[in-house]
Amino acid sequence: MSIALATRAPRLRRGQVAAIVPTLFMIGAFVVPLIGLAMLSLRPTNDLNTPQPGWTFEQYQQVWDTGYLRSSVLDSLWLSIRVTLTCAVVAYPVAWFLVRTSSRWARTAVFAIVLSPLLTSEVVRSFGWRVVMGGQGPVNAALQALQITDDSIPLLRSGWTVFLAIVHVLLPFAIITLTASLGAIDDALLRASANLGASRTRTFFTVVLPLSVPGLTAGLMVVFSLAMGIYVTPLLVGGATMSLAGLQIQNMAMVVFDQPGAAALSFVLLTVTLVACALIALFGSLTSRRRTRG
Amino acid sequence: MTQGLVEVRDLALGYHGETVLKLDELTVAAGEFVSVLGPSGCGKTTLLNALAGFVTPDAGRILVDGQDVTHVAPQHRQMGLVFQNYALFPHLNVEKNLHYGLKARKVPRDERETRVRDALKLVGLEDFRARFPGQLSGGQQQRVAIARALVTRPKVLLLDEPLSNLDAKLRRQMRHELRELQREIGTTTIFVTHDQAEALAMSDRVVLLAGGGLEQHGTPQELYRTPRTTFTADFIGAANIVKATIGTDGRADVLKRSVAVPEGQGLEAGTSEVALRPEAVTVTAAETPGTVAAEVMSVAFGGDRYEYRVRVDAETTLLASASGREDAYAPGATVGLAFEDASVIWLGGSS
Amino acid sequence: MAKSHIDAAVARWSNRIAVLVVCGFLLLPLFAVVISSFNSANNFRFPPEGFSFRWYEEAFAGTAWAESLQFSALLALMVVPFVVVLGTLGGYAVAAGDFRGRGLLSSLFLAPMAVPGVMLGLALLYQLQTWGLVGSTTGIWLAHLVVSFPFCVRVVAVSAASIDPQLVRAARSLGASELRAFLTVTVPLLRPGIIAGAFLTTVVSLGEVATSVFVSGSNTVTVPVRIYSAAQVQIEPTIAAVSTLLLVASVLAIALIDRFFNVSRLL
Repeated sequence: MSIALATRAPRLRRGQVAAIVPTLFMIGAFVVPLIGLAMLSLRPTNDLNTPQPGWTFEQYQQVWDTGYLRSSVLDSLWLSIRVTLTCAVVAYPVAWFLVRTSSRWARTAVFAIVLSPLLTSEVVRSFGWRVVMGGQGPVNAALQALQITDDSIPLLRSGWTVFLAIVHVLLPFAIITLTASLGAIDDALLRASANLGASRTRTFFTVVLPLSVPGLTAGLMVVFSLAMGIYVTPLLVGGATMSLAGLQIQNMAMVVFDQPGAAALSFVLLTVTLVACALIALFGSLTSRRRTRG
Repeated sequence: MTQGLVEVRDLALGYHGETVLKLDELTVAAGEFVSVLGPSGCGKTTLLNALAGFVTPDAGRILVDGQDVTHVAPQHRQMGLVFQNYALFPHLNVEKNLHYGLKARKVPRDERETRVRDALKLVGLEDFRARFPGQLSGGQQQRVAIARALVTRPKVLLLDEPLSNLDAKLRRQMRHELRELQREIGTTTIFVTHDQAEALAMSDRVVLLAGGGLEQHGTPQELYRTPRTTFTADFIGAANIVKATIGTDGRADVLKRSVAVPEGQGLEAGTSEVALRPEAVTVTAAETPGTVAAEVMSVAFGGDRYEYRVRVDAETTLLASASGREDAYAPGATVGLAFEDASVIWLGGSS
Repeated sequence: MAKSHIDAAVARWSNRIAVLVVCGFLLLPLFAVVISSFNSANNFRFPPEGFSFRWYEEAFAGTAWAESLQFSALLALMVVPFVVVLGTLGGYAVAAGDFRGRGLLSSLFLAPMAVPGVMLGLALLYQLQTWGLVGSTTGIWLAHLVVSFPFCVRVVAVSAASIDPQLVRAARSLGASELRAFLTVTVPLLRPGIIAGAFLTTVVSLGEVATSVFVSGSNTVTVPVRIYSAAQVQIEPTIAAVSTLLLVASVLAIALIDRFFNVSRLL
C-alpha cells in the first residue's frame, strides 16, 4: 500500500531546484543593473549630464565624436594586445617549469609565488609599484649604486611602468591556465617525440605548443578582457591622465558625473572586448580543428 | 517468496523524444533471477533505470506485485540497486554505508544495528565495518554494495553489470557467490549485463535485447540450444553461421553434406541459415568418411580443447574444435570436419 | 651524445633562470611594500634607514584606518556566508545538473568575471541610486556578493564535477528523498570546494577595489578603497603598513585554502 500512497516522481531535473536561488540573485544583482546601465546609455542628457526621458544614441555619438574618448578605447586595445602577448610569452617557461620539475618543493614554492600577487589586492600591488619605481625606490637606488645615473629618474607616470604593473597583475592568470593545459599533455608524447629523434626545441614547437593552444587561448582571453577594463593600476601607478578607456569611464562617472556618457563608453569597451575575445577563440578553434583533422 | 513480482507492459523508453527501447511484455516471477542481456546500446541500462525510477517511460506501465509504480519516485520503489562502479559513499565507512538506507527509511536504531550486522555477516565482511570504501579491494566493495542494497530488504534487487570491474578470476568466483546469495535470500533479482557467459552461468531466465526491442527470452539452455534468430545464435556462445539449401525432399545441403531437416519448425524450401557451435564441429583426419574437407588456417590451444579456424572454400571459414589431448594439426594441413545432424541449429523458422 | 647532453642542460638552466626572473618580478612590489612598512623614517628610501613599528601604531591610532580595518573584516564576515550558500547551489547546479540551459546558466554565473570591474561598479552605482542605497552597507555588501560569487561557483563546480552522479542515484534507490540525498551525500562530498570557496570569497572581499570604489560611501570605506583614495593624494608609510596587514590576511587565507583544496584548481 505504501507504494500507492507515495509521491509521484518529480518532473524537475537534477540541479534545477538548486539553480533557482542563485539565478534569481544574479538576475537581481547583476543582469538588472546591467540592463539599467544599457538603458542609461540610451538616455538624452541636459547640461548637468542628468538623464532625461526619451531614447537617443547621442551618448554613443559623443563617445565617437570626442577624440580623447575614441582614442582611449584604441589605446586600451593596443595596451591590452601588448600585455596579452607579453603574458603569453612570459607564462610559457614558468608553466613549463611547474609541469616538468621533479622537485615538489620547487613546484610548491613557485606556485605560491605565482599565486601571491593574484590573491593580493590590486591596490596593494599598485602601491608596491609606486614604491619600487619611486624616486628613492629600489630601482632608482640600484641604478644610482651602479652609477648608471646620478640623479633619480622619474620612472613613475611612464607608459612602461604602467605596462609592467599591468603585466604583474595579469601574468598569474596566464600562468595558471597554461599550467593546467600543459599538465594535460601526456608524458608519453614527449618521450615519443624524443624517441623519434626530435630535439627539445623541436619537441616544444611541434608537440607542446600545438597541444597547449586550448589552454593558451583560454588564458589569453582572461588576460585580455581583464586588461581592457583595468583602471585602478594605471590610475595609481600612472596617474589620472593616462589615455585608457577604464580610466575615462571612472573619470566620467566619479569626477565629471556624466553617468550616461560613462555608460555608453562602458558598452563600447565591452563590445570591443567581446569581439576581440571572439577573435582569440576563433584563432584557437581554427588551430585545434586543423590539428584534429590533420 | 511471495513478493517481488515485476511486470512490464507496453513500455516505451527514450531520451528527448527518441525511443531507445520498446518492450511489449516482460514478467519476472517473485524470487526469480533474470538476466537482461544485450550488446551496448540495446537499451538494457535504460530499462534498469526505468525500473529503479530514474527514467520516466514515454509510455507503458511497470508493476511490482500488481501495483503500478511507473510514476513512483525512486526512494519509494523498494528496489535495491547495485551499480557497475558500486557507488559506495566515499565519505562514509562500510557500516555507515549500510546504515544509510535504513536511516532514510527511519528504521529504529536497535533494529538497524541488527540488520547491518546480519548483512555484513551475509557477505562475510564483519571485520571491515570501520573501513572506508577507498580502503577496500574491488571484490570487497562489490560485497558492500550488495549488502547495502539488501539490508533495506528490497522487493527487487537490480544489478547493473556488477562484475565487469573485477578481474577474470574474481569474476568467476563472484558469479557463484552472487547466485548462492540470491538463492539464500530469495529476492527477485534482475541482472543487467553484456556478457553472455555471465548471463548463461547465473540466471534462471535470460532476456536478450537487441536493436531497441526484445530479441528472445527463455532459460539459458533454451537460448543456447534453440536460438531463433541469427543474432541470438551469434550472440549467445560462439556460432558459425552457415548457408543451407533446403530441398523439397525434407533434406538440406549444409557444408556440402546432406542433412535431415527437422519437421514442425516451419522451415520452407530455399536458401536459409543455420548455426553450428564450434564445439559441435570436430576436426579429424582428412578423408575420414562422412567428413567435409577443410584447410587449417590457425590453431589456438585452450587447455582441454584446440580451437581451429578452418577454410572450407573461398567464402566459408569456420571455427571448429578438437580434443586437447592429442597433437594439433599445423596450419596449412588438410583435415576433415565432422558434425552430427542433430547439432545443426535451424534459424529463421516460423514457429 | 655529448652535444645533446649539453643542449639539455642549457635548456634546463635557461628555463630555471627564466622562472627565477619571473618570480623576482612577481615578488618585487610585494617585498617593497612589506619592507617600507617597517621603515623608521617618513619616506620610501631604499635601503631603509632603520626599523620600526611606528607606521603600524599610527595606522591603529588613526580612527580612519582602524575603522576601515574593522569595516573590511565585518563586511567579509557578512559576505562569506551568503556567497557560500549561493555559490554552493550555483556550482552544484552548473556542474552536476542535467537540465537544458545549463551552459547558459554557467555563463550567467561566471559573467561578472568577464565584465570589467569599472563597468560593474557603474552599473551597481546607478542601480543603487534608484533603490536609494548609495553609500549604504547593503550596497557594498551586494557589490561584494556579485564580485565574489563567480569565484565560489567555480571552486564548488570543480568539486561537484568530480562527484559520481551514481552516488546520488544510489542514495535515492536506498530510500532517500532528493533533498536528503543532497544534504547527506552531495554536500559532504562538496565540502573541500565549499571551504575553499569560503576562503577565496574572503580573499576577494578583502581585496576588492575596482567595483567597491563606486559604491562605497563615507561610512563604508573598506581598507583597499581607503588605500586607493589615500594613494592618489600622497603616499605615506602608513599605507604600506595597512597593505602589509591586508597581505598577511590574504596569505593566511590562501594557506588555509591549500589545506583543503589544491590551489591550482582555483582558476
